[in-house]
Amino acid sequence: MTQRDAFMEGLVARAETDKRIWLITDDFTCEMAGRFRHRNPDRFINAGPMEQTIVDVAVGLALSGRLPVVFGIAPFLIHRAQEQLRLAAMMGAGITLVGVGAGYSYDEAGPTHHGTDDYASARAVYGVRVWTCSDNAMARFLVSQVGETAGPQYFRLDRQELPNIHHVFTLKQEYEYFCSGAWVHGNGDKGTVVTHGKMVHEVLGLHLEGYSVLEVLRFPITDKVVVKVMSRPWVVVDEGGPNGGLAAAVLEVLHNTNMRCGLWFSQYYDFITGGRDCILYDAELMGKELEEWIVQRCV
Amino acid sequence: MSRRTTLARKVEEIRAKVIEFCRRTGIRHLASSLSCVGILVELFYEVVRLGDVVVLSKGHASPVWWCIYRDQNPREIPREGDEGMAAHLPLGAAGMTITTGSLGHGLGIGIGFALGHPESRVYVVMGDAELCEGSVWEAVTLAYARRLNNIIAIVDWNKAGATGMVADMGIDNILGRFAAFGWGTASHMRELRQHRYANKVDMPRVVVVSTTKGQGVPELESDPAGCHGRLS
Repeated sequence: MTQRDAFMEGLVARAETDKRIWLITDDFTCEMAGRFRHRNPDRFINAGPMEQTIVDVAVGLALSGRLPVVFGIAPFLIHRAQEQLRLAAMMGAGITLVGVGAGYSYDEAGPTHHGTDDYASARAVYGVRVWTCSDNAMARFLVSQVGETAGPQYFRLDRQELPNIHHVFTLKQEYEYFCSGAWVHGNGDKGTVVTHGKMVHEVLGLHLEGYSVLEVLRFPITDKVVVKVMSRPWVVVDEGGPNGGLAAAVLEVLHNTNMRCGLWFSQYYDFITGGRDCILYDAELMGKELEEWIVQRCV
Repeated sequence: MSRRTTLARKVEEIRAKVIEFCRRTGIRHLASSLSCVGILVELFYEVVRLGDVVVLSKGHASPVWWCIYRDQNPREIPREGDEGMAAHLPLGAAGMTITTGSLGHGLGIGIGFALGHPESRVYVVMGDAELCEGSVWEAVTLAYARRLNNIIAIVDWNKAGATGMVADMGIDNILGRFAAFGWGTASHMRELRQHRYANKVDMPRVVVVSTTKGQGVPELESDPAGCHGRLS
């Protein structure tokens, strides 16, 4: 199951009892979104590709006490409706944007569809909370966050099916882990790899002994996240554009907390078409090349 | 005194207050405020019912909104409350229903209000130059697609934008454009009131009201494309 279906499955379940939930799309769907439409036709809108207006409509619904979820392909939703998102933040409107296509997951669709700078744009808007999702467990958890903030949120989902990497045993555990804003895999002291989304899978797939992996789940990154991992240096691995992305977010929090840390970042970005694995391979963002790059910088 | 006469006097009263308010505060959207005094007075004193929502999409007419709100709620805003007021009112200030200032959002947000409050009427007051914004026509399309009969757009057709005439921006035949999108149309606030009492049109509606930029101040009226931002 994809992350969008995992999220929508949870949303359908919540909408059974929570009549405040609305789903608005820009002519985008998935199997479970279809189920939402079938079960809640009066709370479902397929407006067609008009991202600016559906975000404004969501603001009006939110100010009317509803919990609107806007569903579309990540870059279209965020970049096209940037000013609408900013206005929503100014008004503290509790809207939720769910963008599918993080990183190069729309690989073959070409650069217009790539979600390589969507979260950088979203987090540039003051007051917007961004969640970046790496597996279905987190996608399901995010349903609980709809309407949890006074301002807008952006849930960033991968298009492709990715294996589960978060294993929690109780709802309380799940809530605490995800709400902390970051997840630490391993507890090595040779260095820390900071990453998110699909790249968590790539990094965890390496043979890195003695390293910690700090998975960022939410932006802005808080100082509580930073102190979670003490091993230095940090290397940032991101499948995104260089401007305003994960490395910038890490630098911001390090600066704000006055912490010192050797910091390296590997970010590859180009307006490129091709399979995701080929793109990542060429960028040395997977496999042995990535492993060597990390080890060299943590010496 | 007839209802029409009472309303006309209220329009003159608010217009004078808006002029005095802009002079005192230095807020520089006098001309485009004056063009929609009649619209907003008629709306607030004759048309709007309890529970209805009014969205001021042309937020640069905030001085009119402010003066009407104070006229209707004299104890809530003292005269000294003018100090520090923004040219575009934010959500919650003087009962403002959205944060204003950026054009092309009011109709979309109004659709959200109309969906969220199906029992209410939602009135969205827009400028004519605002119709250049593509998002307006997205919203027009969506309102038609949803057959939203509780949303009413009111266009202040004062024929001028900030620096030029709207006809030169390609904005003409406004009624025809809305009609082509499936909307019910009217060209006078009087017709809006008649719709209110005999609403059998199962469509969103627009009233395009012909007004004069800078109305009431001859120096402004004589220079509609050049008076934006002038205080006298």
